[in-house]
Amino acid sequence: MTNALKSKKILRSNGLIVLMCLLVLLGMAASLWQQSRLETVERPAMRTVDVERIDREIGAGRLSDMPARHWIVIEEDAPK
Amino acid sequence: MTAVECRLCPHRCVLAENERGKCRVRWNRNGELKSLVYGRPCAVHVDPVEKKPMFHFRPGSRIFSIATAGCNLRCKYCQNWSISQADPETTRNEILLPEDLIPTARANGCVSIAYTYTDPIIYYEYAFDSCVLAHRQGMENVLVTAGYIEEKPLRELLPHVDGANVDLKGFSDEFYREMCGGRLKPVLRTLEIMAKTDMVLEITNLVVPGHNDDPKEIREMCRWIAQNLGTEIPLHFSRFHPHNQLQRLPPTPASTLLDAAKIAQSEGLKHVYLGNLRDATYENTYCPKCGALLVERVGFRVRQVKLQNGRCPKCSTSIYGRW
Repeated sequence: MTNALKSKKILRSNGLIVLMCLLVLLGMAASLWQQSRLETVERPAMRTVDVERIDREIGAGRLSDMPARHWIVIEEDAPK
Repeated sequence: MTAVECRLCPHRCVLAENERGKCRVRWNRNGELKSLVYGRPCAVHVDPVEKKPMFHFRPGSRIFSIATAGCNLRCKYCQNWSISQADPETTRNEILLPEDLIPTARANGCVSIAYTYTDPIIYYEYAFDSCVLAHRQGMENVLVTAGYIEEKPLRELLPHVDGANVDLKGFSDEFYREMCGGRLKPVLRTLEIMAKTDMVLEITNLVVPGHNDDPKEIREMCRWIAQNLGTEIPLHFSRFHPHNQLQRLPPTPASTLLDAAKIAQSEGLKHVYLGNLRDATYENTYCPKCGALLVERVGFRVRQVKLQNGRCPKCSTSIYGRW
């Protein structure tokens, strides 16, 4: 076998390995993306309110400060 | 720091102090969940009841319609996105407490109140107290909702509700996740619970081209309605117009809506309507038994109601609804 043929064969097998690695990486990325997408739907990112602004709006009568129904306390000092 | 879990809707938002839920209007203040929009509607109008759409509920009547800012879904094609996707501190809100709402509705010649435009689920306490007061004073209540609510609060609210139009947005969980930020199953549960009460239930399905217009999916939805809710439940297919994040999509072709209506009828549904589209065949109510014209409509206007005590004047078949 000539050197040229040998290097071609090596290149081809290396290429296959690289291709398989890429496919595995692509699969992992897709799975991670899917996971993050589901999390976005099921556990939407909560947003902190601007308390000063909310208090001003409540004071001005444009917003209410009414106790809501249908909720529970999770736990005291719960790390978020 | 006290975290709370909101159990009003299936999102079940867990909120640390000073955080608000996905709905934008419920927040954790010092370990207590508060509503920012009780008695603070940002939309107050008098509408024909046909606009909700409710076609089997007091046809031709005027309905006092209110909404607050916020929504627990994120529909990419929402027609009312300017208030549904807005924080309540950014909208122009009125003070209209339940005790003032009822006399205001009456003064405007209305016999019923619609909790509509955004979604009454997110202003649950305001809608609940208003519904109770309205009933006490002889008025009726209509919910226009996506039905994305937990079972317990729903069951508590329903005895005070007389009619509902539930927006069944599609019939795949994928559509709900991708396009609306929700799930299909809780909505189906809401429909099943509502159908077992004596309220008037109507369903709207807004057909978005290329997203929920697959005839196979439409057939599955209609079959599910017929088998689980009954063939009397009115179904409105509504035409999509470009809104919110889907401004580049064309409006739904008329042929798609007509095909959907035919599919629904072939699955046995007796009252099928097309919305946002002028088509006399699908905006009137006909007797499912003898075919007689019962309610003639032109757009949201009712030309004539021929029903007698809720029955067809020709064959006396009882027609689903409150007339």
